[in-house]
Amino acid sequence: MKNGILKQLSWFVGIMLSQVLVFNNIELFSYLNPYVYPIFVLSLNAKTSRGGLLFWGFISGFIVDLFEDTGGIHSFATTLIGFLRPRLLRIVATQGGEEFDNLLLTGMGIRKFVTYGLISLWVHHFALYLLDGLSLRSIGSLIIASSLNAVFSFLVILLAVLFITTKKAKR
Amino acid sequence: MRRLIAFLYQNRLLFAFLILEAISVGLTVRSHSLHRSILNQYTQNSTASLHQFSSEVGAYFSLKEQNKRLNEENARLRSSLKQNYFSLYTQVDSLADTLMARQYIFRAAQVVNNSFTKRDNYITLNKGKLHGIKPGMGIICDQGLVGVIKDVSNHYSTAITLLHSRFLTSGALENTGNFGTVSWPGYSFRFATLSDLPSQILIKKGDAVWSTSYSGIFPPYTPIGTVEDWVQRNADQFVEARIALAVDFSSLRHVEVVENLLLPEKNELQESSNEP
Repeated sequence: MKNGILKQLSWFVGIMLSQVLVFNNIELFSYLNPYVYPIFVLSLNAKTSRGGLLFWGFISGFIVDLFEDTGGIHSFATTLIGFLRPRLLRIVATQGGEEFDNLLLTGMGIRKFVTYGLISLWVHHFALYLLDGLSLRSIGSLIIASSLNAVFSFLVILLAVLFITTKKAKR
Repeated sequence: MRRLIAFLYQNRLLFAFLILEAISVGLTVRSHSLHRSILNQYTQNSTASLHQFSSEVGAYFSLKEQNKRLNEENARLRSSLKQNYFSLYTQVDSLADTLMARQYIFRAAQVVNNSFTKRDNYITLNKGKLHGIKPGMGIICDQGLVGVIKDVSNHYSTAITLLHSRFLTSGALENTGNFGTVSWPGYSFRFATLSDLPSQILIKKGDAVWSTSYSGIFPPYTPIGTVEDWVQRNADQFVEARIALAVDFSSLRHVEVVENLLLPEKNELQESSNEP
């Protein structure tokens, strides 16, 4: 139990540091910026309570906000997916996700992980862009920008997850 | 009362969710206002030092380019040294120069955190209160106009760049001298807008846009950009030009903070004239 919490915390710190130090500096075509940190909330243990999901969602978004100087847009978006996660998970899972070993590629299989991850990330990015330029973007450009960026973020997450899990399998 | 408590308890998750979202929106709205949230004042130092670390590592990757730029600037400055000029004027009539007084002071600073893809973009500089930086000072770099200092802590300062919805400054066309308002409509960090130009003037593609001395924040004739294209809005008699920015905000590292020593005097005079 204690080991689990420690593992979760180090996973959290690792994801946050890589987001703040590495991924925030990637700017493809000058406007695609990968946000990989939502994967922490999305991949939290299926037994995590809904209050816990809200808490971790808010905290992870808040930390990114502090470093990106963006007020509260990231905390808004991650709290939203923390709240909606049980519903998002229900799209692909029948028993609230408890039938999977973990909520990543290895536990869910490629098709379910892609569906779950892409939809969740799109919700996250849409909320993010909505709050970022509320009065200044048209709804069309909002949808296009959030969709493109969500796909890009998901590809980065997929690569990172593949990298981590194959390394573990080799050991 | 008991039913109310029971209701609140049953929907506690929903309420927790709504409260957290309200906090987030509140933080966003406050960060958009010019008075930065108090919280950020406290966190600024710790986040800025991590940014500095990351920026120091990142600096190695663009070292070559930055060296080249500094070299070019050095050469330019060296060639303007007094000793490089041969005097054609042989009469010496004055020892102390009373015709000139210093108006602008430039302080070199480095960008330790930079953003240019959001709607409102900020940069963090590694100079702060202890180095004499104050809110409201202008920032320029070797390429042109960058932004304005917004908040300072002891060792760092944050600034809004030209790429910010609140950033407005006046810019003048090089050829005609007509001035308008420079603002940033969003989307691309390479282009800004110069609006409120009178419609009868002649504009050409490639016309340089310079800063004016009206705001007193930037020295006049600091490059802002060049005219790319322009449109006339039917409803009014003004022309709006799209300008390609002189500064490449994606590779900003060495900047200079400008202090106008005569600005307080100018502001005071203008304020006293405004009074009835």
